[in-house]
Amino acid sequence: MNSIDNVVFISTQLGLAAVRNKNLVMPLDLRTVLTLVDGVCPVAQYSPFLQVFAPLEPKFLSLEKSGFITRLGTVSMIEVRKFQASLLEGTPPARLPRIDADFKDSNFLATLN
Amino acid sequence: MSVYSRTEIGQDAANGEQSALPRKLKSLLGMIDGKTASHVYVRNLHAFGDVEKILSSLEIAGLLHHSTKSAFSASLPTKKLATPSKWRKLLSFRLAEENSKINDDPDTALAEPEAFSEFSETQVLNFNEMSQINQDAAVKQATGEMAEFVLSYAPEHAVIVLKELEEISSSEQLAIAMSGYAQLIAHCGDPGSKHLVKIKQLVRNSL
Repeated sequence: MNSIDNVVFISTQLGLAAVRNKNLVMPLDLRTVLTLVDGVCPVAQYSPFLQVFAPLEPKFLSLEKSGFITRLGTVSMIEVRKFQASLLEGTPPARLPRIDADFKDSNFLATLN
Repeated sequence: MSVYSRTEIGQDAANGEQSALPRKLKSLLGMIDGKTASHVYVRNLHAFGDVEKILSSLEIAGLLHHSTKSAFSASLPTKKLATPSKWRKLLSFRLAEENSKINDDPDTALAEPEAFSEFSETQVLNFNEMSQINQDAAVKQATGEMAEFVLSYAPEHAVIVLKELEEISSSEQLAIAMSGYAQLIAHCGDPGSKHLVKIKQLVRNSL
């Protein structure tokens, strides 16, 4: 399991500006991940839907290092494990329920979703 | 021409509230209409990044399936529409003429149900069925063209507009949506005006 699987990222002002700036030179994969960051889903929830972009962890970390995204909070690791276990059992990713944020773990409202 | 369409799971994920699909991917999935060529999405939705790869990923996740259509088969609905609408008008004119003849003659007017059933019932039935088919085709063509236009000229509104266009199923709904649509594409200048004239013509045909 990746160390940031349960982390929820959100775009910073710099990230939002980068998405709007068509002239900014950035690898297309990174730009795509940056565009898809919504401040609601943990990293684990992107993985099954973005298999062509795998591995996602270095991309998120690279965007974070560049200041385009920042950590908003984390969701319960138990929920992430349940989600990943269901995937391994063969449940289609789209049939899985979304991972809800655990209020004890994070300070953000899961109701954003 | 390669075209993506939503699978059953994809359809559920696009409409469902509880799906694990991240919402920006859900927006993109919602735009897939099963008619527009994938290169149109790639060209117009560059704000999403590498759309081609995203579509492939969604296909791997079982939300989309990919098919290849020839340019000819893709253009069939447009070509089919022209002829029936012409002879629909002709038929409606002839039908009105027959009805007025029956109504003008007091004897036949009294015996209208029988007279009508003798020679015009099939015509009326065919006309009604055909009229419905033509209306549906015109509505589909209009919404298809509107979707393509929005993707090309106002991609920033595409997410909302394409969802709304999908919900339009009758000519009345289309007519109601026209004023808002005209405002939406008002900034598109000459291409927008030309497109609007064409859509209005289609709306007229569908009513």
